[in-house]
Amino acid sequence: MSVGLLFDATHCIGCEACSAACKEQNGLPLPVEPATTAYTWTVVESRAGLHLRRMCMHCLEPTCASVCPVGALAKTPEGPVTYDARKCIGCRYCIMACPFGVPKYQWDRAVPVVGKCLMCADRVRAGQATACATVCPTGATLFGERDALVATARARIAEQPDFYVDHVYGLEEAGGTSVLMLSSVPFEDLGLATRLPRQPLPLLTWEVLSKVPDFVALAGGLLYGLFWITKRREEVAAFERERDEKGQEEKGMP
Amino acid sequence: MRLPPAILFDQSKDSPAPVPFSHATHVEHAKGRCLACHPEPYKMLHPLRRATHEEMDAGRSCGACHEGKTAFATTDGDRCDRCHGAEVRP
Repeated sequence: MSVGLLFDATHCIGCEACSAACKEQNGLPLPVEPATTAYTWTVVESRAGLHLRRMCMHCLEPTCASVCPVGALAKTPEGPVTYDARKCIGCRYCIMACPFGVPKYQWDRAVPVVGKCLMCADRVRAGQATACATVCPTGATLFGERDALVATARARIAEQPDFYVDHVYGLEEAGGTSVLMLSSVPFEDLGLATRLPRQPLPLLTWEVLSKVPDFVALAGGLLYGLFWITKRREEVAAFERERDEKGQEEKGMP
Repeated sequence: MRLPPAILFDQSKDSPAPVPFSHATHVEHAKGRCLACHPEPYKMLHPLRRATHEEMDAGRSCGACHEGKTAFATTDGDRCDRCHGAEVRP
């Protein structure tokens, strides 16, 4: 069982209490910027007449963690995708890999690290709800077990099928995410990526990387073959040269 | 809307009456933006200690807005009742 968040865009009034609480919880500098940065981990955007939170979706199988060469990013069993700045070497593969464009870099620092929503991993481990869900005045952001949130989301759609878009965003996107979203307008109108593969993206990396041992063995065999052929040719050439020299010596002898 | 309930501040010994705080009335002035007061000066998750009347009169905490221009002043000695003993609203 792992936890998650359910964000219902139709309940959000854009008060930005979530952004404020996030800043406080994570000790991030003010102000709340208009878009997510390494210092602003969640914002509320106004799109298509609705308010929409932007934040880390906390993939069930995160691409960022799969590409991180030092294991700074990890999916915890509780649900949050955490980030350990002490391990980070600043390669920024995670920024390139994330299908939602979430991790941001501290471009203004001499020794920068990455910043992204951590789903209040410390609070979650202590059995508390995330800061954003705790302060949300309308219940637009709900914290709970992901399975229960999926049930809640489906129940809301079933109750008002003409109002809600018949889709729980995050249920299958990129293999599923711990953060789920509901909307009354198409999700692409909210600026969310809707053409994401339904299977986890690390599978794509795995398909390539799992062929590396075969490729190394094949390439090794091929190179050894080439080496054997050229070595054999050299040996034959040396033998022939020696034989010719001997032959000439024999001829030269009176 | 599920705003935090009214806060009833502790009454010190020389205070005429307890002071209630209503999120509902303040949120209107802030045009619905929680960021107007959170997380600075007021933390949401880990509230700080209460400010004293002297600190407020010097422009801290409530006094940041209740200075006589943005909102009625905390220094108005004739109208203590605007805060002390005011109606408790949600």
